[in-house]
Amino acid sequence: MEVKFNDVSYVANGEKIINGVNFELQEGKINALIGANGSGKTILGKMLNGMLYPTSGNICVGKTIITNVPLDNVEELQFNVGYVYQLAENQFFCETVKDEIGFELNRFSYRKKEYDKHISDALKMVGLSDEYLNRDPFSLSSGEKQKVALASILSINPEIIILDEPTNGLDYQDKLNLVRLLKKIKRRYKKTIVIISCDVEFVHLLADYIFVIDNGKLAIKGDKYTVFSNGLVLKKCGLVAPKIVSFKTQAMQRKKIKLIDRDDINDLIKDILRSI
Amino acid sequence: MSAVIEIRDMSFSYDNKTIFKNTSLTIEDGTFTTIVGCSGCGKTTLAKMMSGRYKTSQYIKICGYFINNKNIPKLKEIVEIVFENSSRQLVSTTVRKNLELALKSYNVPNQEIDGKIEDISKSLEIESLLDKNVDIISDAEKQLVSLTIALLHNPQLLILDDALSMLDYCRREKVFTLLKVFNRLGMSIINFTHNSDDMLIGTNVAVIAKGQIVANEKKNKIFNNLRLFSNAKVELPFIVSLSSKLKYYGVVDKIYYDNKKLVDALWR
Repeated sequence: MEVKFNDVSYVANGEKIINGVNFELQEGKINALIGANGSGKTILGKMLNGMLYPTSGNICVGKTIITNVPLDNVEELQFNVGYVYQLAENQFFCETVKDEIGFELNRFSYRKKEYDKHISDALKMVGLSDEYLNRDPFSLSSGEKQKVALASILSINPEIIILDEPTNGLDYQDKLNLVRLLKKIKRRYKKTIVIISCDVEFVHLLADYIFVIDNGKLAIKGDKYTVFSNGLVLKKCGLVAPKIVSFKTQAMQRKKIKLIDRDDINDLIKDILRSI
Repeated sequence: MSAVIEIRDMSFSYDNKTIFKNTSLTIEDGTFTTIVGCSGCGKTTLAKMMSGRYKTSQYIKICGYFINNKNIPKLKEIVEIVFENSSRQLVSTTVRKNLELALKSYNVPNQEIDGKIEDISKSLEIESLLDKNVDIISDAEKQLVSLTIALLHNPQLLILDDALSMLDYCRREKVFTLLKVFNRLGMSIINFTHNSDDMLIGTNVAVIAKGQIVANEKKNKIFNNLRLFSNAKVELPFIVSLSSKLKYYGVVDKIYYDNKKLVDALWR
């Protein structure tokens, strides 16, 4: 499903939070919207999901065109575009994990017969067992809450999945699992995934394409090597390159040696051993 | 040196799940301790216990006080805790009104309130947020405001439970620089975190694994035993991980905490 932002602006309380943004998401890929706190990246995500409407400009999501006029069929848009909230518990209100995931299914009137299976499948996709079905979602750890929130969105099988700061409250192991899970969802189900995050380490692990948002504008876009090697622009946007990239850049600048772009610390070590 | 936290043989379980079993921990007064552990290991439980808001019969001494009916009001005065999602405590309309409310509840005289708000918001760079409604500021900014409220109280012990998780890199750096100043002025700080780089910031690091507090050491000693971290399923800071691997290959002789020094050591 095609997603295109056409000259989108968003004004709240007389303040221009998004200022004439134009870009197109890569279909079936993992797209990352990164930026400092308050840069406006969450607003972009919320407009894509129909929670907010642009003040001017429009967003094309497949056949749906989102403008400043509230949509009649916002349910249809939200069926195609799932949104996982920044703090998972902000999207919870049911007493059990089962009801929580079931709520989304009910909302889009899934058949009762498939109901239980959908819930179990969604839990399995995020790596949780059926034991969680009767747990109270509020009593779970942050990592588990995040997984349940993602499961509730996956259960309705949207074309586009937006995750707002998905690594909050996740430990390292959970993060790696989430990277694996999202890559699998992309590969197997051909979903377009949108990560909204300021966690550059996480984005570096999985993003195919990165959009850097600064003060409501698109500052730079490209694949991760293009974006993360541009230290100056990142700094101006209040961000910093991932640790492995910063180390490489620093070594190359100070000691006039050549190191290749590496994603993995063990590959970097091989390069270092070769160069000394 | 006196202890700000003294826990002896503490056990805790809920929903028939054991979180802690006979574990002990002493945190010295005046330290900046980072506590790490995988998710679900009991960080939030421990943070809440240390805050002294929950009555318990366990041996837990906070700033020299046991947690009981008599001491809880005192503990509320000297200990502040900030959670990942403390925004529910922002009850008033604008950020400024919330800060005023906090100061009034701390019995700060009216004529000092404006000055205090100005000082703290300058040091945390949140002046532009002051007159915004708390409903429209971002979740990261809410975290910053919650922290500001805790700092306005100037507690003897400040506990952070993933309280800075949403801040971007620059904000985080600035906040930690400020926290270090408060720490030098005598505030004990305990930072429960998922961010492995935070371990390089404080003075001490403690690790939770399998219901036990398995280590509590000075920052420069803790990385001598890296197995501790793999057993606890905790990521190492990138620079520690890189230099320890290079040390294994014999190209450097110690663990480095700084890119520049490691680069200099490698390509002399």
